[in-house]
Amino acid sequence: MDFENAKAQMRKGVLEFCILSILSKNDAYATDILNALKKSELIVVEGTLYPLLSRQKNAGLLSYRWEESPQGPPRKYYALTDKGRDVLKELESSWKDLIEAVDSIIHRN
Amino acid sequence: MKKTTQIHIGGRHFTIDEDAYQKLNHYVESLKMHFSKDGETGKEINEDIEQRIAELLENKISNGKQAITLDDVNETIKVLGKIEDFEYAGTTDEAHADAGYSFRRENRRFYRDPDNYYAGGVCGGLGSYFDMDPLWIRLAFVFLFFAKGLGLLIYLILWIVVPKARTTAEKLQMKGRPVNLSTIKDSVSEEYQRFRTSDGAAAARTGFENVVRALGLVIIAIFKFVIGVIGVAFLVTGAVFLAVIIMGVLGFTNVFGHVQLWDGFYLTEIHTYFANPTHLYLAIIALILVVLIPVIALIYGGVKILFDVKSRHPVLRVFLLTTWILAFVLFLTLLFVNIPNSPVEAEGTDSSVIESKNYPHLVVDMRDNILNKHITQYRVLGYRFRYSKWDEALYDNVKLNIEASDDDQYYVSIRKKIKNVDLYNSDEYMDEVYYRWEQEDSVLLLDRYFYTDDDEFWMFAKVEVTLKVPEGRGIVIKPAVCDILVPQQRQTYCDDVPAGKKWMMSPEGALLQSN
Repeated sequence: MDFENAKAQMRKGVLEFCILSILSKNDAYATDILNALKKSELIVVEGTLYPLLSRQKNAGLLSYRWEESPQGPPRKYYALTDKGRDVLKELESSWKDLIEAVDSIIHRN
Repeated sequence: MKKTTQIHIGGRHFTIDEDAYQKLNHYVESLKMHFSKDGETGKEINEDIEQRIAELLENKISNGKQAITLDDVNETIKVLGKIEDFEYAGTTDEAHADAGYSFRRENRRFYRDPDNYYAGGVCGGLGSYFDMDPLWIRLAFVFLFFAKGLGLLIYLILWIVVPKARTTAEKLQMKGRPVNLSTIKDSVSEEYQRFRTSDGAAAARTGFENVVRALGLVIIAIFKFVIGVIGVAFLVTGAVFLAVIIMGVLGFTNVFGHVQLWDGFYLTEIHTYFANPTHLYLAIIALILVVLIPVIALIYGGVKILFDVKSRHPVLRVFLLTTWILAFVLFLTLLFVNIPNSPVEAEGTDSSVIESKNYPHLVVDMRDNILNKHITQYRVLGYRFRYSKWDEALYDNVKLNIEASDDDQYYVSIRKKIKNVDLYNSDEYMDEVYYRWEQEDSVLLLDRYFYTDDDEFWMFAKVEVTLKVPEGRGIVIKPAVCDILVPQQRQTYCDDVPAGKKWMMSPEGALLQSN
């Protein structure tokens, strides 16, 4: 069995969940999201983020707007859409279920 | 000192070292290539990443340091990660799993493999196409080679027809692997590895591989030998043909006398089919071209193969081919135009009575009517011509035949035969053949030669003289006359007896010697 692929799929799901979660607190631009993810060591290389953002935006979970920055060119700020919020809620509950389920299996012995 | 350059990325300007720029540019291009399959979305991703690159690079700039260095770029790339490190780089992964990344047989293409070859890489390419070890395909070809060279033929055709995999993308298609950034990278680094280890590779080869390689070298050697043989064969065949043709034209051999254009039509009799000499000349010129062009092409081809001459003269080739076709068509046309009007052969006889009442017998003598003329002898298509420049006439021997007369008179009959004249004008042509004789008392003087104008040679005229002797009368055959007598009579009247004898015509119609 391809464990690498399983791990990648798992991380991908979690990562998407985390992006939505970060954006539910504050609108943010890519670098803010990256900083948050890197702090919790969820992401190895930054390049990974961009295709995911693009995918979520295309799925209608995110929207973005351009905002002036204190220095340099304007930044792309991402925000959750209503649909994004619904998806996040669903993911949060299923995440809890999943953790409990996995925990119960792991700690049963 | 280092060369720097200016770049604009993510809405910002940077001064960057040349080597750093090369690296960065390569990285950005590789990202672009990777995401280009996602269209607009991919473009957006690229823009976002470029913006991030700009941000990261900006952090490297400080008051003391204005230009981006190679180290800066390397660190930036490390942070962002290489395409291969993007764990879920695709934007629509599921779809890719179905479409993008499953290259099956239908995505494969048959290329010749430039990295796995002994001759043209055909077997290597076939191996890649069918996912087989090329060894088995090579063995199959060797086996087929012994089936009357079939393998060689197939191989040569494939070699010519199938393109070589030149680019990395083509090499991947050949192997049925998807053409994307990571496979291209893998492929390139594979190639690099092979290049690096090629010195050591020979030592690492197993005995079996050595045997296969040796076999391959033998096949190449055989192949080169065969090509050489073909070249020599071309050259020799062409040269022999050319030599024979030249010798035939110059009259050293009678080779054309044996050449049949079709059953019963000998090349040397080609003139008998033409009533019009202009047509005959044209046909001969056309025929020479028809034969000579392929002969020269053979020689040239042989030289090209043997000496590996790469020169190409497409204009010359087209010209020669066109000339050949035109000549061939012209020849056939002339032949078929002339054969139905098949020229007739005409003959006419002119008899004269010889006055002989006052003489006991007739003395037959000959005069050499070209004695004081400068004569050149020609031989064309097996025919001899005696040409006199002085009177621009062609001379030829007459033949004399002696037979019994039907009455009591001596007669001289001149029979002229001509060929290649059209039916309606044959009489006029007949008058173009001149033969003279005269009687001086009891002496009949016959010219040794008849003649025609030099432009009438194509009539191939013949003149036969018949002397008719009445029963009970006699003739004296002078020695000179022997030269023009028909062979059988020459034997009887000249060779078997002393010349100058008197002969009497018997009632049975035969000349008998008398005193």
